[in-house]
Amino acid sequence: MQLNPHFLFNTLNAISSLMLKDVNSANRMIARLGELLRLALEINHDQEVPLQRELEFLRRYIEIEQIRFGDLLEVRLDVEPATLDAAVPNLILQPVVENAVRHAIEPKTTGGLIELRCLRSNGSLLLQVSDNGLGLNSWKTNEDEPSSQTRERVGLGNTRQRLQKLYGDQQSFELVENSSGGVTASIIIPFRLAQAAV
Amino acid sequence: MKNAPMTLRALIVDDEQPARDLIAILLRDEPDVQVVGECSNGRDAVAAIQRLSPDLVFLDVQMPGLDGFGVLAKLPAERLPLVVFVTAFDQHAIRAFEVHALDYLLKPFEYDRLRQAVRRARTELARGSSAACQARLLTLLEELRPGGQSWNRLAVRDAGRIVFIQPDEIDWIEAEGNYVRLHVGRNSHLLRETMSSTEARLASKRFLRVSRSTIVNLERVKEWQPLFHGDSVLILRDGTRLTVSRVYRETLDRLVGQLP
Repeated sequence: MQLNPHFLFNTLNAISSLMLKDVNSANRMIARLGELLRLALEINHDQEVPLQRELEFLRRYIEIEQIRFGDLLEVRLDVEPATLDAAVPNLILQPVVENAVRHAIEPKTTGGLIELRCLRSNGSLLLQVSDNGLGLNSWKTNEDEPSSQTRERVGLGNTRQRLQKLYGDQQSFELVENSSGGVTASIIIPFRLAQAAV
Repeated sequence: MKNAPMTLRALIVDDEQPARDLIAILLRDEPDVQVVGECSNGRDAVAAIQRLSPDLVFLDVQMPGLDGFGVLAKLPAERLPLVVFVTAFDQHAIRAFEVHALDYLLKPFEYDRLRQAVRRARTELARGSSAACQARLLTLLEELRPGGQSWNRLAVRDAGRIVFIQPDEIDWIEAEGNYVRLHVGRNSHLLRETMSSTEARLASKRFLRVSRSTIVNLERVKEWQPLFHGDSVLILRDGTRLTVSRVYRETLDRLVGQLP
């Protein structure tokens, strides 16, 4: 399972807090976390899942993050219907979105924005995650970088390796700085229908 | 006679609202604790600690941007407050907290565990031991700083135990992937360090880097035999043979030159 332990333990801590002041939110968070863990355990052995499945997982993850960070975080999804049955590596998007969440909300007290686009272009599937954070400069490695921040990049290293292993030369994974600030992560893989969807 | 009740002024630092709320709500049950501020990032925390001089800070370790250790590193030593670290998952830091006897809350924590942390803080403050606490914090920061100061004592995790090693107990050290292996008598321990950081931390005449992958404790060396092509071999008292590469030979030459 690729879930970040920080995410898991911080979510449990947030539940511990919500129980004291907002039992319904605490309950909602436990339900989402349960669903997330169930999906993560179920799809553990499949390399690929339909994008729709991946998005179900992602929506639950995002809902939990929104309870944790409140108004700080807005997420927009723009998904072409034709891509919903496409095969994607399972849990490929969650670490990328999690990384974007960290960078989008870091410099801000409000207005962290994540946009996810999924579209088909010729024979390829394009998955794009943009944030409106400080840009790649703020991700740079430096001597004083706390170990906690190195881990975030390790997460993306895994993403790169998995794509390479599954699709070889037929994939690409790029991080590009947006002209308006922030970073866009683009994953391109061959467009194929997932077996479960046929 | 009892001392007059003290007010404990507390600051809460965490990037997540629910995490801050939890501590604030629980502290309402502590009549002598007054929450003087809440910060959602490291930069604000540095400013707030300078401005408010809190007695006690609940400090989240993992925050984007400036993290908990970064916050403390930016404060002058005499402004360091009592700190209860709060962390979700950071094995390296937790080990350091334990070694230096600093209090920490592991998320998610039992409500009672926070009360216990407050009791400990109260005791420390009543004892007026803030200088001692500041010294412990400084040691922790030094230790967690990449390429930090030299080691007085190493804490190595070994099969569920923590083994303490004095640097002069180490016979020699070899590189092993992302780790270094410390050879100590019949035992050896893996430590997550690079060769150059190890070399820096052992900065003393006793230890010498003799090849890309070897550092040796010179007091363990019994013989030095030249080989061909400028390479040579060190033989330790226990019979271990270590190759000295040409690049590092010069330093060794100089040391031998200093012999009477």
